[in-house]
Amino acid sequence: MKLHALALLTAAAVSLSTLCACGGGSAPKREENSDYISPEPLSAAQAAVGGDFEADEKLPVAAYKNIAFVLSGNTLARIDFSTGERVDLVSDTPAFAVGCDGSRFALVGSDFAALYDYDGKKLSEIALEPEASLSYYGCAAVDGDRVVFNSSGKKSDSIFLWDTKSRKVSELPSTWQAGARGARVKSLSFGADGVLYSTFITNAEIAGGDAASSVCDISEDRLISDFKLAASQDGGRIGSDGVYYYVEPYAASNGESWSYFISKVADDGRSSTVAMISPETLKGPGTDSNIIHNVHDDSDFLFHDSYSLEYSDGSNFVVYNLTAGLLVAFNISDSAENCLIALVPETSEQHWYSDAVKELAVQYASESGMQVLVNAIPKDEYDDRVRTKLLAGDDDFDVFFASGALLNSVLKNSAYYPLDEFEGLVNNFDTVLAEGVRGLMTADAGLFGIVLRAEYWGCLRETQESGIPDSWTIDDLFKFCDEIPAGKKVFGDRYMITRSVCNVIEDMIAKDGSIDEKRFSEILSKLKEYNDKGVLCDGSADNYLTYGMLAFDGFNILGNDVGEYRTVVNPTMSGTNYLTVEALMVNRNSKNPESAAGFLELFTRPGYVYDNSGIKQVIGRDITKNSIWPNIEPQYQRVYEYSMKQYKDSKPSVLEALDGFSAEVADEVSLVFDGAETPDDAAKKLADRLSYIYLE
Amino acid sequence: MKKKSDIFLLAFSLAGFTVFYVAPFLRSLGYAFLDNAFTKRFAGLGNFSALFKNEYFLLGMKNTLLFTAVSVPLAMAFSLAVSLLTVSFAGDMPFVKGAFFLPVLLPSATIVTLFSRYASSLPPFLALLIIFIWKYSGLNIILMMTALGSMEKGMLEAAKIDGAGAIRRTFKITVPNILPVLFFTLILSIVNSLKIYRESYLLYGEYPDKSVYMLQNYLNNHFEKLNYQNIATAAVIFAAGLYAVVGILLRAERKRSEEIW
Repeated sequence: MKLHALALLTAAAVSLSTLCACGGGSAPKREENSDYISPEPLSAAQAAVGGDFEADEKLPVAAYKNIAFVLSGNTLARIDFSTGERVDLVSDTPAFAVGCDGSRFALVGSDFAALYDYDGKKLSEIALEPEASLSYYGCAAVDGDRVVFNSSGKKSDSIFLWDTKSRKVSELPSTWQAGARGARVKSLSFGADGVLYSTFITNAEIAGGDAASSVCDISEDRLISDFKLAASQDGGRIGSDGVYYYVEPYAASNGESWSYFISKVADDGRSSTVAMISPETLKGPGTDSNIIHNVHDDSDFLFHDSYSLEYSDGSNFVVYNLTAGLLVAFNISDSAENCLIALVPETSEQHWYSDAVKELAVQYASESGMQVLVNAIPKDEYDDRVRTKLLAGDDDFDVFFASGALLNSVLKNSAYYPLDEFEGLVNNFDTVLAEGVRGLMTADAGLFGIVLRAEYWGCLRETQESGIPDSWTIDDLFKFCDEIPAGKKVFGDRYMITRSVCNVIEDMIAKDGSIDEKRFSEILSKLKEYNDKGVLCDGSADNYLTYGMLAFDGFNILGNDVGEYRTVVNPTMSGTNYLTVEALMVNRNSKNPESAAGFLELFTRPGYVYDNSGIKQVIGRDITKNSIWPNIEPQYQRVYEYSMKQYKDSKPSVLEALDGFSAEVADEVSLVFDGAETPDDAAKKLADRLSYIYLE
Repeated sequence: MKKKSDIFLLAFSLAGFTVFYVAPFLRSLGYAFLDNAFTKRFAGLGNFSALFKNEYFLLGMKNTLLFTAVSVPLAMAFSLAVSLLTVSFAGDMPFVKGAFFLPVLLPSATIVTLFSRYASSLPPFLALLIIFIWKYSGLNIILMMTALGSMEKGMLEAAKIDGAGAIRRTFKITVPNILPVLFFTLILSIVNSLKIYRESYLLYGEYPDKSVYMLQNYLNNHFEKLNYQNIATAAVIFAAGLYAVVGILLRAERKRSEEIW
């Protein structure tokens, strides 16, 4: 009997676990997050080494944790950052490259290679054949008895391995170059597991094109990853943990401060920060880093030193400030105290969100002393990973981005930290941001976040003479169709109808939580009737309206050629606008909700809100305070003013949160207009579908 | 001494069972009584009553039970028939066993790729039924063939001499002899029938035709909506149902075994 009971319990438990596992792949669990490392405490040491940045002269440098080797002139010096001691170990050496590990260093010259211990005692030496010799500049790396270095050939580099035990030098297979033909070795480093990594410069970069980097396991002749690097990601190297790290300077959006991010690049090219470093840490005395205001486009440009990362293991870093001729070693711990973590989605090409967050992170760090690290998650994984973290109650992040379905589910479940208690932030909503934004960003549990983007679907190219009111309903549209002059039609294409029908559905959901099939079918019938008459969207007549997705920020408005026309939001049923909203929110389980809210408050300050030079946020309440307002042509000013009004009585779009539903609406509209389906059938199908995916 | 080693060996199994099954079970049970995974207010039986009013939960439950009720007997009957025929005509050939077992090894994505061309022309329920029988019968057949192969042949020969026909011998001698294995394959088939969601998801997506909207569709979709309390409640209800079914089957099997022996 007991065995039977155990069997029953097992079956029930297994089935429950199986079923729970179906829910997105796993039950709530704390997810190990290895994407960031907190920077506190940070200890750093500097050592002047020289070099001539103007002459593009980078001294050969090798480093391992707190030890660095510098080849200056014909003398090799060892620097111990922990004691500040500098010792000349080898003199009169005609070497071009130096490499080291934890106990040895190697020098490679045009016709020799030599291995030494840390005290400068020569352990081994070998003469190099001409094809393996260094002609000008090269890289070297050491791992026990193995020394690798590159040699510049006519077309491309070769990498040689010197086995000091067997005293043999052999050229490593070069199929790794297939992905980047003509690539030149930029750095060589050994991983902790003995794997040899290299990064390359491609011909395109040499010729001034996009930089690119291949991460290779040279010892296995295997391409691990191959990705393009943004210009700001140059100057890095692959650390002993196999990750590409680089130094990235960022200016605060207010143009008053700057800081450095130590960032890493994932295999798919995404960048996440692992630490913020103050300018003083990396800046040598007498250097001239500065933020320069660009009068031409009203932007700020950061003029900064040039850096090269010489060592990294994920915790210890050695940076070469080429401009200042300075080596800086520092350590970051894995403690998660005293910093904010922001989660943002990112692809290898799109850095909008992380850029916006990083700019304000610099400002926040300078004001509060607290650092903000940006953890970029692949866009296609972002929603699921954040959902899992939210459900697990993770407290290892403070701020997160949400839009679409994720935002919808976060709001429905009150899975955010309400911001109403933070007076400064609330005050900015009431006095700085446009009227209606606070309502837009408020859900059941309160103010849920700051808005990064809010967009509505509207019509462009609508003439003043048409008589279309600023805000019109679907009945106004029918009336307009009745009175439209001969030879004219309303919309340029069916997509505008799709958006209008979506507005109708949004209204119905807001009112009853479902589609009113009868009313919806009537609307579809009337739309088809007008379309058949050639006055709605099909046909060859001139159209009044064409579509455009307009953001409330200056960038998108200026990006659309509105010419002499004005904009009109798509017709609705009730006058409510449904906006596509993207928000930054505070994690309900954040350890630092006050600090996180303080960071978000920066997004609502006048200096930020009224600076619309980039893709950022909603426009401010007093539109004339916008920094670019005086330079905006009157027709664009009209667009701004019109957009301002659309916040009132607006709500976050629900349909935008339902993947693919807008496309299904478009399909149904087409089927009805083409006579392949009756309005009744289309209404029933969409109602069924909506109840399935929305009311389930 | 033997007892100590038994306990020692059992401890690992029990620890794993506790950590990976009992603890998540209890935690899920806890969620079932909360209004929300975030606000975590006690909701009493509110989630249960709401779930029994939710037409999509009921639809998913109905379809899942219907699929199990239809597919498991069909798969069992098919497997038994094939096993009997194979053992009678081909004997215990490893190659034959391997051929039957092959579909079990195929990943769901491969199966869906193979079937996707035909699935669109079939009613979704029927398409999933065919996939299930094709994929999972192999395992049943292997187990049944092994049981049939190890059966005492003397009883069958004696019955044959006594004049019993093939059908009578099958149902009066063969089936009772392999009853424990049949019971095991029945449980296995029930569990496997719950796994058809993978193929369903790959073929028809998150929102399939309503005839194949399974309980797992409901659970998966509610994960995306962060409704963990719904997922936990649904899982608890289903586990309780399964507990009852397995209990009844175990009792019936024990009773039947006592009658025979």
